[in-house]
Amino acid sequence: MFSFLAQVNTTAALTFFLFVGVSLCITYWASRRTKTRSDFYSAGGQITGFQNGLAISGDYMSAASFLGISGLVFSSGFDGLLYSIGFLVGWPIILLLIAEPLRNLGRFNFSDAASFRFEQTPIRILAALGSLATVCLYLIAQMVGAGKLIEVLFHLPYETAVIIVGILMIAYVTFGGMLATTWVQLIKAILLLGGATVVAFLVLAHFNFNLTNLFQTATEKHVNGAKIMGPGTLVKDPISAISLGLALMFGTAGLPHILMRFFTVKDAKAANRSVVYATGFIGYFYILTFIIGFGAIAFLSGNPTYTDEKGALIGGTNMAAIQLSQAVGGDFLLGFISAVAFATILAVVSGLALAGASAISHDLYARVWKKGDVSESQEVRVSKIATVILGVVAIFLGISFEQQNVAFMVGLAFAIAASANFPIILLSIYWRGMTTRGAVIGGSMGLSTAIILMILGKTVWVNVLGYEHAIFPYEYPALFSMTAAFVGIWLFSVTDRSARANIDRAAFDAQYIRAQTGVGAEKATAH
Amino acid sequence: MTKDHCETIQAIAALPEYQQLLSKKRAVVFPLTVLMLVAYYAFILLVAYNPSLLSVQLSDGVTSLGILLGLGLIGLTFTITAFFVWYANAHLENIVEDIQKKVGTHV
Repeated sequence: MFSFLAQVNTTAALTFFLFVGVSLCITYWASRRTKTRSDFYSAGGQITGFQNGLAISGDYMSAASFLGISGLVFSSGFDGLLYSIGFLVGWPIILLLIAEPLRNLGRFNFSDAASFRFEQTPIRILAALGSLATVCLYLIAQMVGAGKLIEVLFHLPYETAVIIVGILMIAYVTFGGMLATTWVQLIKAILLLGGATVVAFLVLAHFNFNLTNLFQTATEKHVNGAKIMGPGTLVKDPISAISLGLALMFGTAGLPHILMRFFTVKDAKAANRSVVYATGFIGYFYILTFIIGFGAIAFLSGNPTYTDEKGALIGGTNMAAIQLSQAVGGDFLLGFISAVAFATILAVVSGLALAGASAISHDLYARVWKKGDVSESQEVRVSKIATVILGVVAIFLGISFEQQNVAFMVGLAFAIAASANFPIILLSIYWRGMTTRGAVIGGSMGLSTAIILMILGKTVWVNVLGYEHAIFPYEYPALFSMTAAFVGIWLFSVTDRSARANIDRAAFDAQYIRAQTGVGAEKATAH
Repeated sequence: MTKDHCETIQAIAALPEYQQLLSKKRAVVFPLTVLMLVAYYAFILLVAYNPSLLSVQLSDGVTSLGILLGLGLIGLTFTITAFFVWYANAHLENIVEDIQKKVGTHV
């Protein structure tokens, strides 16, 4: 059945082992240079704007977006572009409203900035919970994706694949910290952008670099014909459209592993520059996946080498980009792209694990439990232990969730990021009236509403639990959960007459000045 | 916060440069944010309420208006980020440096 993948592709195996070898060397190099807590969490602030932009885009160009979006374009055409755009438009928002204040107020993760003027314990607990929820869901999606991919491409059993990913992830983070994960992410980004460019280039070359020709052939070959040029069935009604749009746009601004990267640069100016570079690379990447998706329609549809008797793509729509690489570039390109897709997952899970470890160690252990009374090296040691635990949990969850629909996991991760993390960050930076109590209650409302509505929605209530009709009629809860969060924060802040509330409000002016001018901000460490 | 830090913050609050920084920043942040939100949600609402408009074919006979607008939106997104950082470098950075020099925290 998988005739074109009958033997393990030599190029794939070689490229993969080369990548793992290089990444472990980087980890060793990074471990020699990671001496302090600041090194471990934020690479000592030594990362440049350009490097950070590339690393951030690497975090973003996960296997889910490379394979998933080109797969979506392959099956639905225009709808794939909708998702791409949604993932991209959060970046100007981050740049204009969040990046600079975040870098100026925080030290290592977004919870530093969000809890700046408030009572530390409750806010840090909430931020840590929101971070861990987002990270875990994202991790499950990546682990399952990795397992499936390796299973198909390298003929390894699913469990073995998941365990390999987990072990490598633990190695990168515990030995090399943020410095290792940044460089692994960066290299992967270059490989992925390079490989995808080659595939897209070969597709376009076949059509004489004329997009119209490509679209023409695609509409002729696709089962839905010219309908793929316009909106399909991805968003069925206005409420879903807006809800999905909100989750994608503002979820980006609440992803803990992305926000953590803003602390790896020298100052707010470099943080801003990172965003421009990242937006450029990501935007370019989404144009590539668009071309690749259409290329897949043109080259693979109805082609007996790649489709089965019923006309469906072998391996599922997620394999569209992989199969296209063989169609246009032979076994060599197939091998390279497969190895890069896997490397992509390795890099992303490492960033996620570090974000999760920092939530556990920096927020929950050091600030909440020990009230700041711990040495830096103790904190780092706890981070490493947390990474190992997270790695084991990720392996376990990856194996348990093998059969589940992972696109829904990523969707839920974004919904939580948009409903729990983002409202707290935004309002704490810009609204004087916000108080600790408002933040805690409102943030919790956002978090719980997102989770509850997801459970009551079609994906869980009907598909997993087997009930007849979903209680919550929409697939995306963001519109409701974000509203709950903002209303909750507002309501419980304005009605807050406690002494703590007065401190919270009074501290706003000084916080705002620091956020806008960088005076008092955490500096890069000298090496 | 240390007493020194409090005094620094109070000193900044009194500087005219600080007010200038805030007003220049708002002058560009507010319109750009609105532009991004309006462009994106207009597109989303078109998808939701008038999908057939987006399926209209352009002069080459196959490319749709939706694809053109979508790719345009990608271009707009990057342009907004590039413009803001250019603006910040050209007009805001020097004010921030002035402020830092005046309160003695410039490195």
